Amino acid sequence: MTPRGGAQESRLHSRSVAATRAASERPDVWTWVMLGPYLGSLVLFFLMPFLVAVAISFTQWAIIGQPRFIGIANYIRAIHDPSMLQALWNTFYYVVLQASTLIVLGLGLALLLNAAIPGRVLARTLVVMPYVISVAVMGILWRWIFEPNFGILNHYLAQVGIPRIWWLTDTAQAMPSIVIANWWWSAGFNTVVYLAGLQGIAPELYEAARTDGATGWALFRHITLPSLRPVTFYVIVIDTITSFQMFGESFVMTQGGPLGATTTLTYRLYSAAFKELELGYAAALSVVFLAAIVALTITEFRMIQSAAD
Amino acid sequence: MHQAQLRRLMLVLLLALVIVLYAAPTLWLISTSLKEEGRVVSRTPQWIPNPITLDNYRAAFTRYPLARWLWNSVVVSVATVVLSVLINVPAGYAFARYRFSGDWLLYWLSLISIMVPVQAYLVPLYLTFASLGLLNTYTGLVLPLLANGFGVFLIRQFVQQIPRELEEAAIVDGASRFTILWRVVVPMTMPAIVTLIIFRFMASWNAFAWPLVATSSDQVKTLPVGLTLHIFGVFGAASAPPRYGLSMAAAFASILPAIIVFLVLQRYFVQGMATSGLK
Repeated sequence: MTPRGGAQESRLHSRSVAATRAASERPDVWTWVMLGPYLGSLVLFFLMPFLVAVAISFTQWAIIGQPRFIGIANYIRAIHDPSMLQALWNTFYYVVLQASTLIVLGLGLALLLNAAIPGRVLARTLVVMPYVISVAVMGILWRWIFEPNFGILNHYLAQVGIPRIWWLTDTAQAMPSIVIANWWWSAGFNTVVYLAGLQGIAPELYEAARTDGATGWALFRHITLPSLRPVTFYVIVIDTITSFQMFGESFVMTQGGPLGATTTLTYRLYSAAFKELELGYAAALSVVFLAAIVALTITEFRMIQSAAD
Repeated sequence: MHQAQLRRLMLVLLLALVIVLYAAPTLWLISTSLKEEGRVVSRTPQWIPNPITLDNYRAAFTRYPLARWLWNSVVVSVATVVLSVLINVPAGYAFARYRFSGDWLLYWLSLISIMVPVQAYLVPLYLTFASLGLLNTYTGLVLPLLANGFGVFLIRQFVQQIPRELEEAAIVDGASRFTILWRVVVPMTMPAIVTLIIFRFMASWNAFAWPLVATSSDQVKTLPVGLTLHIFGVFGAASAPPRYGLSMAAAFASILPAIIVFLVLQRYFVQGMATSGLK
């Protein structure tokens, strides 16, 4: 996934091969036939909408009627909008809580599933399977599990003496509850990526360390963890970027509530457009969100590249 | 007992715990869906329904256009998968093999298209599709899913690992690029294409934000949207507390196709996630 230039030219190749290579890399009519439909879809349904968003963001427009040019007023409003600041904080809180716990959980599950014990294939299937379930179904299922009076979670917690928790209706608890649901729904991805990483570590590394007398924790600390560094970077990138986009969970589980406690940036953007019908303002929020996610993407990919070098 | 045996016992117990915790929510979903309405809510959880009834499934399919939503999801997902393969395989190949000016721009644009979710540009997308008259159409649901670089990166990455010599020999023999793509590259790229099919299927089957705003007619609503708006009920709405038996039945009917695809293609699925997995 990281940017790479063309394959390194090998000096062993003869001149004629190099010439063929150069010729084969030169674009011809087929290049554009092959790239055309993809480029077209990308420009029409991805790039264009953003240009439209930039244009609309300078207007006041309540879906009915005509857009009125108001300069950068929408952006100024965004800076002073308390609900926007709350959404920004919520998103930050969610990204940190979700990404950090999912990374630890994914690594833990991968270490467990990597051990040669019976049942690990079944366990892997069960850990990965929730990943294919839609956010709509995940949301309603966990609303039922989190149900404060009759939900199974509170029932079993009561058995070990934990008093009733208002999972999704308590402002302080709602966001962590969504993260808990994601421990079930999304842990499979990190687990699979870490498992592949673990299986990619050369056994010779462990053997060499063992002959030097290292055991258990020391092996993990000095062989496993450093070998998993690139995997961890990859997982951090994917987890932070996907949790930065969180929308469906809030829509299905909490409608952004209670009192805006689970209103993320994308949920705020959606409400501005489709509940409050403020298209100009929503477009400005779109532009800000895009800038943020592009900045996040570029920063994280730079980080990976410099870590890889 | 030896320390090694003790450690192994601990691992087995931990694994058993993981199995129980990860299976429980799905089993609870199925269990709830098979209960009589009056027995869904109970003081102590009843894992095995007594009696077992299909009433909730019957109600979900007769009182709501569930079959229609299911069909819509199938149409949209199949169209998305077929078009994604047709568009992304040639593009990924061209991207891997040609050097052209502006390829870095295409690289970043593709990358950003993976990273930016549709919920970030709902407004302009909605306005664009409204002006084209494509709201409430299958076309309108499919097109935005095609503007995504995931498949192109996947194919590009895979093609880059194929030695060029095969293709170069064919070029010297005078074969056109299209022939090479079809005869030489596609057969060798099948694992990546399978991954592409699985991930695009999942992305469209589970798509939520765009179908939510792009459809208002039951005739074109897909499962996640239809279920959420009409069966699950909106959180906190006092007028309509969720009917969990009915909801779980509809929910299970809607995830069953995805679960079957997952169980059948699990190996490819896990490989795809490990090597290139993005949602």
